[in-house]
Amino acid sequence: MHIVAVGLNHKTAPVELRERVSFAEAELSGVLTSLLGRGTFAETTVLSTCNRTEVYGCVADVDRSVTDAVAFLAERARATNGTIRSHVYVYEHADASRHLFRVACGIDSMVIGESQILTQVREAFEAAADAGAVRTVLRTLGRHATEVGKRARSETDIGVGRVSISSAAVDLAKNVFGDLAGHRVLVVGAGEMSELTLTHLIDAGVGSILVSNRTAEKAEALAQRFGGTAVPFERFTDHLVEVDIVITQTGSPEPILTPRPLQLAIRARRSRPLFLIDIAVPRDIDAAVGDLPNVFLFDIDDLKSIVDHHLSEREAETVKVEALISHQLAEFNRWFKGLEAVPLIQQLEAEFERLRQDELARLLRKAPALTQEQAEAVDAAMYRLKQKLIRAPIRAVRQLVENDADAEVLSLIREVYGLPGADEERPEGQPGTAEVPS
Amino acid sequence: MSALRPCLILAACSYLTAALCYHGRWPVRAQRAKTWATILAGIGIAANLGALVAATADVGDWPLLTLRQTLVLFAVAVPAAYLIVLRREPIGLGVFTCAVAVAAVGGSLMVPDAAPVKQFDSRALLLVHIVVAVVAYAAFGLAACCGAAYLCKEALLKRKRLTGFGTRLPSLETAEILGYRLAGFGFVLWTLMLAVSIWYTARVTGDFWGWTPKQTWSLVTWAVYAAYLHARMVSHYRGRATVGLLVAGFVCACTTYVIANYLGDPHHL
Repeated sequence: MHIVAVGLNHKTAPVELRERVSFAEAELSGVLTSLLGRGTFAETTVLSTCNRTEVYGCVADVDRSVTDAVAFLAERARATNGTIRSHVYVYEHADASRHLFRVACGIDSMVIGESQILTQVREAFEAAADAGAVRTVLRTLGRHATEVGKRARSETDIGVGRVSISSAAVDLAKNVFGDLAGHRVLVVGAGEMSELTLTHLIDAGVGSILVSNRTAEKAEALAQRFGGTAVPFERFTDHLVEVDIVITQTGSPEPILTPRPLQLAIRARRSRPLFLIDIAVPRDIDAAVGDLPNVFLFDIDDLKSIVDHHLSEREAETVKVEALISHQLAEFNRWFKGLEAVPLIQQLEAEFERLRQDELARLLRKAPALTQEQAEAVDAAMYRLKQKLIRAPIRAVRQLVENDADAEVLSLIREVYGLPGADEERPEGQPGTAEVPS
Repeated sequence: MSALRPCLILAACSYLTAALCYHGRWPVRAQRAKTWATILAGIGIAANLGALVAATADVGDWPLLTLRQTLVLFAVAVPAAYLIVLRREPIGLGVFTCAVAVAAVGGSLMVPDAAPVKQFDSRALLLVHIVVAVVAYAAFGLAACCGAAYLCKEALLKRKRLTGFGTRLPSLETAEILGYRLAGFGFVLWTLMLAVSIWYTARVTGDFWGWTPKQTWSLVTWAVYAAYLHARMVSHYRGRATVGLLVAGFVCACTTYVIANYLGDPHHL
């Protein structure tokens, strides 16, 4: 039994291809049924996000299942197998598990350490479990992936720090004001980035919003969209007294905000802190404003350097995350390896049970005078004896499998106990996916 | 042999290590810093309480009648109040509170032991005066910690270097509000302590006010906090200068507490 991962992501495929192979949550059940219907997957799940679509499978024949997975992706993309092949990566055995763990930890993401992927991994495995597409192996793999993803975020700094300009700006505002509820925002100019920052600030709970633009209609439209109030561009400095956060992004070649009006505003504000975000290039706010007491000015370069710093810190943390992944992988592989012992253990169980039943039947034939209670007592005693006798060989089999024992050693055990060969016993189609006896 | 000194040394070491943990870089990772720092601060508080018990056993009386003894009480009050009142705030604040506790324990180890202050007719009044004063010092100490956290964070924001320790400090507004509330609480107690002091002095000496160094500095401290509260409450001032008054007020309080004792005061030893 093998684990495979076949997929494409932002590193291997352009967005035009990624968007064709991705699918909505509602489609998942049908997709899984289609994959299982190909007959090469004993268990399967599909992870589909905006940056990746990956098929994970527990399979008997790696080559056939990879071919099927590629064909499936090609069908989704309405492309040839050859085209898809050039964008697809394939991981087998422990590499497949390691890849899933890296994905769950966020170190394979476009933005390292992003947390959404862990939820997406968990939901993919849960949805597959609901659809009956995963059983013991992939369910356990999914559990280990979720576990290592959580550990990566709690035991390392892989998810620490904001990594987008707008969220970094909101984070800085929170460092000044704490809870942003009730704080007032003034947006001067209307650029894509300033709107995005304003959206983040609204999500964080800011109170009233003032919008100012050289074109009054644009200011009105933006104010209407965000539930704010438009103020004349010529007099936006009058409002510096009442607001706490100012975002500027105009196309002005000269600074629109200089220290002088700010000094007057600070005096009128009774030194209440004022947080200024200048996203414009060239800058809208004179750099000297940043030297004023109780004024905190951040321009686009400052925000970028904060984001870059957080990203480099996350990059540095990947070493620790890889160590966690290796540890988790070793644990999973030990368990997975143990599955190889399952058929032999099941055979041993069956053989000992058969012997017990035979001896019990013979005894009951020879001693028909036994009462119901006596017969039950004998049955219980024989059961206990069987359990005691079988414990040592089961333990030995498990240890031998974990220590990569040769097939000959396992054959020897079969011979000793008079068991049929492994090939004769293994059920066709679903090898190794049986529940492990406790 | 008295257990006072070993207990104080253990408390100082625990507070110091807790301060390092609250910083969040070393010796434990930021994610576990709060747990370890809380445990260490708890050990420090336990050792500090042990020192109070030892001091009680040593003198056979309330351990509140010398500067050294009250410093032991002050040292336990600051981190204990932090763990109770400010435990939900970002852990960076703990660095300052534990530093104050270390300084107080260090002070109690260094100041020479003096004979207990003379007790006149009203022992209860004297004890109320001392306990209220120590609690007020602790409130001012915590307020100054909030002020220091504010100034530290403001400097980091100004330099645009808000990483590591800076992220573990409370926001400017939070630090400012906490400092204001604690200073307000301390000011009420300080005023009460001054009133009791005037009453007690009048009963003992027949004179309400003697302009001793201790009295003078306590009045200066009261005036600084009164100015701060007026600026904050009545004039609605905020920002660095106002917060700076919290730190300046605590410097005056420390002068009143420790230095004024060495400037010639017969009633504070």
